[in-house]
Amino acid sequence: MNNIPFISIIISMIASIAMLLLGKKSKTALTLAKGVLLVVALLSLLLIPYFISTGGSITYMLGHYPAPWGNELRFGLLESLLAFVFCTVLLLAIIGGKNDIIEDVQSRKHNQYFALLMLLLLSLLALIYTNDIFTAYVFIEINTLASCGIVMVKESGETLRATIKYLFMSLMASGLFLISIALLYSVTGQLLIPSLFASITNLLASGTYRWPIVVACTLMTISLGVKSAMFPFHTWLPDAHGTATTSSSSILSGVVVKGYIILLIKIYYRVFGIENIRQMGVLQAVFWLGIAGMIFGSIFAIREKNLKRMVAYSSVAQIGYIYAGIGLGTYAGLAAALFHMIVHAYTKPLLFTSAGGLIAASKHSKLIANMTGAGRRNLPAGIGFLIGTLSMVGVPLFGGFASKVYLATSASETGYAFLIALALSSFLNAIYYLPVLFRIFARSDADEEYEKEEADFGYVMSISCFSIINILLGVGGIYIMHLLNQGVQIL
Amino acid sequence: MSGLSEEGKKDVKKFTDWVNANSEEIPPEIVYPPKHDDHHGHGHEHKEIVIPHEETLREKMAKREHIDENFQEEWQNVMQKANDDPSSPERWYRLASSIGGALIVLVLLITVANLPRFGSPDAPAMNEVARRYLESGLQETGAVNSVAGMILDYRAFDTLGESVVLFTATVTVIFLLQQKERNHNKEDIEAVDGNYKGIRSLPAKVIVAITFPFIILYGIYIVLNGHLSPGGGFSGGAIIGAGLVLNHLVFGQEFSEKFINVNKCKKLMAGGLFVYIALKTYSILTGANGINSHIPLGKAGSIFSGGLIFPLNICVGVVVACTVFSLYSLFTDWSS
Repeated sequence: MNNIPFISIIISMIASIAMLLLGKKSKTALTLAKGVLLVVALLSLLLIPYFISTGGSITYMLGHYPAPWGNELRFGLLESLLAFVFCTVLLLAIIGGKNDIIEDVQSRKHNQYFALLMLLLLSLLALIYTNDIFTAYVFIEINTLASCGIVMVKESGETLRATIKYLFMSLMASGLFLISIALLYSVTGQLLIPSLFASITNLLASGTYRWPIVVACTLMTISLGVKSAMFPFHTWLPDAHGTATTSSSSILSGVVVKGYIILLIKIYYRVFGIENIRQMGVLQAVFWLGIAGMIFGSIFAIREKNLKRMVAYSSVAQIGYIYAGIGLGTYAGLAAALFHMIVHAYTKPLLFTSAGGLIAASKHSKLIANMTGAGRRNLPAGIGFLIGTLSMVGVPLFGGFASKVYLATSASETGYAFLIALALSSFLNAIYYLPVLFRIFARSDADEEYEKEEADFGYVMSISCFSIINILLGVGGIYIMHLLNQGVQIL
Repeated sequence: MSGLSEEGKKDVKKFTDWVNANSEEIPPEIVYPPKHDDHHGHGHEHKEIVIPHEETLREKMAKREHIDENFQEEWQNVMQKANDDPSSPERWYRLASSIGGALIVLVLLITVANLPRFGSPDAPAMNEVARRYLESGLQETGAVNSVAGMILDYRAFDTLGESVVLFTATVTVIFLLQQKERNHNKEDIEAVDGNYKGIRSLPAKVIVAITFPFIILYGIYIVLNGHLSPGGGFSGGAIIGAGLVLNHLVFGQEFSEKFINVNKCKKLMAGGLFVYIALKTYSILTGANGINSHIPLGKAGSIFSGGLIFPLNICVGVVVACTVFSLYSLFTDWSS
């Protein structure tokens, strides 16, 4: 049981290397990728009931040397739940985006694309499970390179430019992260998370080295903020997510961005301690940046005429929700933010996958103006977009409604700013999503011009799985919230 | 169709089969034997068949250059506007970013001034962690070089991650730059500007011909001696890679490919990582589950000592050398 996280990481590592050697057998690579994702998802699922019954967490020694000397993994309920969510999102995203991969990626490079996906998976798993801040840095590097790789795969002018922008900002953020690790190491002499926590608490209580610790904390927030598209640092996101191939967009918005948020939560709660973060004023800054992201992300989205870029800007707003929830600094707020993160992880890929279908059904034009009737021509995509939109706007019975309710209840004690921003942002969401919805289901005179698309089994399955999960989260969200509340207590 | 000769029909069938299969391969070459003007007079008709050609490298590169030109033009326009118009947002943006950068530098300088002195005996970094690495590193890992013991035994998982970083970088660069499989593109390279033939300078050739074997040998020595003396897989691998790059630079592509090419690099790298993963999985699984791993540490100071550090150094060396060489050759093959 306690070997599961390590084995998951190693399986995906071996798979990624094997895929590079497969040559042109892209079918085999796809099957292998699906198989690995399924196995890792099931293995993580096994952990969940174990932690529900026992509670607590497991620390796993990597090798023959105990923690401060060797490396260590640590996992509990929260970590296994998130690993399961990430694997299922990745799996459904590649099943749903298969046709676009075939179209956008040169066929002899398919296996390399899947190799990059496996590298992404292993880095995300390691980010979730690690108990050592330097191990986190190593896997951030893998994650950065692999995620730039999956943006680039289309090899068109606009994706190359988007990749360069993404790469520059990401690498600068990696540099800031490394600087802050160096600062922390030189004042504490530790890299292991629990030892860092003990040492930092002592230092802050005695008042020595306060300034380097504050600077390190700020730099880590900025660095992971850039990588997870926190509001003023979001400028790479619409380019990268808006131009990449469908499955890459789904994976980047659904999973990659979330991996960094999880790491930031771990750093706040387990390295610095949330009370210290509040005293430094970083927590308040995160809260207000989250609020600003909620509103400005939506305003930017209203101005967009390109469907994928609009959906991408909507991610900025949703990440604002998550940061505002974290910025509350309470366990209830954190659990609500995590719940919103899970809902968004299933909703945004649904929107991107169906946007891919809608674009294919309107002669590959990404402009919303050209999509009249696209939802009728490609019915699965239309329905998927409908469900995703209703969830984003916050209609009852859908996941987005449940998460907004939890965020609102967790915020109700701390003031009205969050509630007002929440209401305003929902309203703005409706302003830009609903016109698209009306347009794609409108009757178009030119319907005969378009060829009717054959519904692909994988595509329909992916859309319906995402939709069903979304509705399940909306109806039975209280159970997941229960798990999250239990999970954040032992963070 | 009916007017075609037997051979012509065969060629048409070959061609239609290829189109039907819709494969990415270059179509089978159609050979026309020199036709004598026979008395039927229908011999030439099949020459009308046009063989569809795949986008050549030259066209692809032209497209890319086009993108670059557009980008440069746009960028120059932006810069021009910033220089001409004092109220343009670009100007303010440049000013703001300079001030922001200066502020960040100032904050970081103040922070560094507040840190404990580097290397002083009472700095926080001199704690029980460093002490155990230095004091019992030799007994526990069997490596005389305590850095090797640290990165390949105590914290081997990080180093595995680091090797995977190199692997990831290579995969992405291969993705971006390898336009075709190697055996297909020989003609294309020549179509652009011929194979890279190396440099003409005789002294350089003589010097590299003499030093090349020693560079490789020195690299191998550093890799193999990684647990005994300063160095190890990373530095030795970089030396071997640099030697291969030098060889390619001076003697040209054809000669260099007798030793190694990108495809071989890919396989060697995968092999190195597989061995690393296999060894480390064994050691981590036994260690985590409290099982004795039965790996002999050997006699400290001898070449076969240090347990797994010796083979792991070789794996890291292979991975690093292949990364250095494949990144170099992927970049040069198309721009040389």
